[in-house]
Amino acid sequence: MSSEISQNKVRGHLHPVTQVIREITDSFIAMGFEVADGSEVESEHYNFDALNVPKDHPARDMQDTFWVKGVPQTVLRTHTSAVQVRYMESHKPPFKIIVPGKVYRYEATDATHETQFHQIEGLVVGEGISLAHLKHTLDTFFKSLYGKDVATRLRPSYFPFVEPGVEIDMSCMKCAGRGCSVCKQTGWIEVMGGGMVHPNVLRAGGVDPQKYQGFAFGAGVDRLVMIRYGIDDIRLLYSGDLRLVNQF
Amino acid sequence: MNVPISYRWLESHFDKKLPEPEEISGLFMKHLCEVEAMEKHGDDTIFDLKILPDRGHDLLAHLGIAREVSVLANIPLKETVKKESRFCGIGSRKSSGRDQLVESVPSLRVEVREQKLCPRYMGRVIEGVSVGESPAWLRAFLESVGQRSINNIVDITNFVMLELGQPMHAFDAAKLARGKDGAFEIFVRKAHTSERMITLDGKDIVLSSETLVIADSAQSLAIAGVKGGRDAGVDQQTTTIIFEAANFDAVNTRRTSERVGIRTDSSCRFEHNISPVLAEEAMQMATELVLEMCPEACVGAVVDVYPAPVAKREFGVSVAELNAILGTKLSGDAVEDIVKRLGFTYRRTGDAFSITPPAYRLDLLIKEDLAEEIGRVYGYENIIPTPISELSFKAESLKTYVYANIIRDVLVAQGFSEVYTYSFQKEGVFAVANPIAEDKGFLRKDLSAGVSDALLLNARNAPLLGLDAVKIFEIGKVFPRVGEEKLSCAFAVDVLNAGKKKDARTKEVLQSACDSLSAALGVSVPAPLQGNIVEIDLGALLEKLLKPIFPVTPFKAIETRYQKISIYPYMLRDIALWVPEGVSSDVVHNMIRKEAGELLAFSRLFDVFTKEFPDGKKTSYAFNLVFQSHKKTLSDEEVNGVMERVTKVLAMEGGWTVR
Repeated sequence: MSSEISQNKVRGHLHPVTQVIREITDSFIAMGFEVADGSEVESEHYNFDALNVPKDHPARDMQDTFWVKGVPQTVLRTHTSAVQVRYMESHKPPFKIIVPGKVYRYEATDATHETQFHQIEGLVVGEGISLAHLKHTLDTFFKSLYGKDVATRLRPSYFPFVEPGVEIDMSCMKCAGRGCSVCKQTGWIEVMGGGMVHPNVLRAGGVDPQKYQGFAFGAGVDRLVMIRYGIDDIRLLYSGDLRLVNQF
Repeated sequence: MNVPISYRWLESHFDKKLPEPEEISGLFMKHLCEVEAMEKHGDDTIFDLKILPDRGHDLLAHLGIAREVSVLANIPLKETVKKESRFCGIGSRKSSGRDQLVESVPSLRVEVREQKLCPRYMGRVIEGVSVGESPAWLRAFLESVGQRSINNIVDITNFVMLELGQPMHAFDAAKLARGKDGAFEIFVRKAHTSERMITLDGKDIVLSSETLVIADSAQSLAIAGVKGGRDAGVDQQTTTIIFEAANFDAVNTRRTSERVGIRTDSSCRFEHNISPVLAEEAMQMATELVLEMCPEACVGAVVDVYPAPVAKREFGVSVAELNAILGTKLSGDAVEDIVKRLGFTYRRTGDAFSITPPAYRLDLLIKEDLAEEIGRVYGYENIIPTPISELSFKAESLKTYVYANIIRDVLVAQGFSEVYTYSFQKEGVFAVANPIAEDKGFLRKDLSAGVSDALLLNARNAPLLGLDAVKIFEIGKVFPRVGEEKLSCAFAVDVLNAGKKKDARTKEVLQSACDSLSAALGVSVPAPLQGNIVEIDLGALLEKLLKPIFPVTPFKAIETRYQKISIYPYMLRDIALWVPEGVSSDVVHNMIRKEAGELLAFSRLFDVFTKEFPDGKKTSYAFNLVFQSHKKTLSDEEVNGVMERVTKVLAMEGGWTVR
């Protein structure tokens, strides 16, 4: 039989979520970040309390968060931010970490919502760390992935574990900011949330907020994968279907 | 939470002309919140603003947004904004509500039994109102933001809420039970067990003992902060009303609203925890508006149950601290200018500020909060990106990250494709307390179950994918016991159409994968004795490995565009032909692809051999062709038609014979 029809040499394919996570994580490794991880089953303390989420916050409700049976006050982590305080407790500043991982939300599923998805979290804590550093770090990251002409924009936002809190946009890589279907004619793509680590979070991690400041950011990987490759249904990513995977 | 805001309504707060709606929208986006939509309605523009959760205190209202416009566009608010009618344009009303207090108006007694759930309750009786249609300006304002005009009294309460963010309620006093002395009585209490109330819109609600209600001595009149009851509703015959401007606890209002299944503009605002101070302003404004519309009305005294007034909050911050957070070089004067524009009370000593935020700004508590205020008004675009220079930190590599990727790369090289399956399954050991569906009650105890389902799914599509064997893997967390979480890796193969050789081929594939993994990791990964799935306890395996070094080359994700998967079935055909020796399979394949067109979803060469003929050596090529449409189920006739065209084109080449 001719070699041109041999099956054994056919390579497999890496899932697009893996590809994008690796690309992002490796970019931050190249910028001196350490990769950290955490568990998917997480205590209410690390997922909510330590992150300055109020006790009666609606995010803790059973309509938003999966709780487990048999272990009290334990959830399926709703964000990779749960790793922040765990890492602070076991490492002294300064540090720069990047945390990819799977997270869960109690959510009716449809083309844009899933009960499980992926996030990447970044955390930098040190003396004199400021919002200007966050802006530079992300600007460098976007440029490393999408080229020199990509611009970064911060907008006001709110998350209990950062203050100030910002939404982070990058100029649309498809149309270079002119406006197209990918960016819904705005010229910008919302990629992350972030901000300066709230002093209560630093305190919860045993870090003195008088001495240290930090920034954090987090991105939803699935959305980035979908925008980048034009995938129209998030559920396809978890269907185990090679008709999707083998395109990558 | 989103709130509709009218440009014309905003305009009524200013003497000066406002920038155009597009410019205002740009200011909001940069400095305040997302503008999710902007729609022209006649000569008005309605902004759909996505108010950030921590600003629900003050921005779910036109006045709050007007204050922001004033700060961001640097245009002063009207001096008279709170003092005089600016709605009818001519200020027809001569006296303020306070001047018109009338002794003869029956008195009101308010008893708040749940002070924690109701920090403030203001009530006022107004006699001699005539319920009727609202003036045109009021109807226009309400309709601009999607509110239906009901009658002047109800419209006033809605207007005040949309203007100030303070929900109000109006009761028909005549429908209330009165005390022995003829005074009206209002009780703020928890509902009795299985007490009922019919809402204004006719819903019969059974209340629980956790629900806070507004009641007279006989029955519940309203679910506090959520919805009024029908029995005390204002109607065309109403002549005496009781206005309520109260403050209800945010969490309790949310829980109540969830429990009774009613969400209103009122409950949404209380859920955001508003300042009790707003009630005064609201009562004043509502009274003035009633007198404007019913000049003959007689206004009773305000009853104000407010046992623990909120204290003013003051906190200190220095310019150096603000700059340290923002990474800016703002001067003391620049900070002062912004603080002034924000209308905050402050004292400045050199570069040290002591700030007293306005009562309605419940979100400002610490210096970081103020840094955000200064930063957003100054403009985040003006922050100059600055590299992190002086961190003495040496990153360590993480085993789970580096080795999982090595394993992925080895398996991909071995022909395995990566899948992600669901962590939730029908069966397992570690259960979810609130599963999203009946068949997703457990966290997966292993990867094998999900991977073997995926094998089945993909085997059905193997021809479309051009696979003789489905080879997949997954790396992920598994939950084999309650409270236990482990990292696992599973890979599996389904060898198709191999007949008797299936078992041997399966073994071969898995053995080869295990050998490659063993070689790459330097530890033995034993192949299974039977079955077609291998699952490895990756956590345990990694324990045996040394801390890895970082990968040298950063990974680059593939550049491609996803092609939508067709939901219609595919159809299979084969074609085989003789060509003179030396004609490459690519030439033949390209001709087939070109002629078959877009219905050909997949094709591949599956057989080649060469034979001696009287007129020379000839090569036989055989191809699998897979047809599929994105628009419909293909019929046999359609596919046969394509095959005929392909056959015809191939047969036209000299010396080519389709077999």
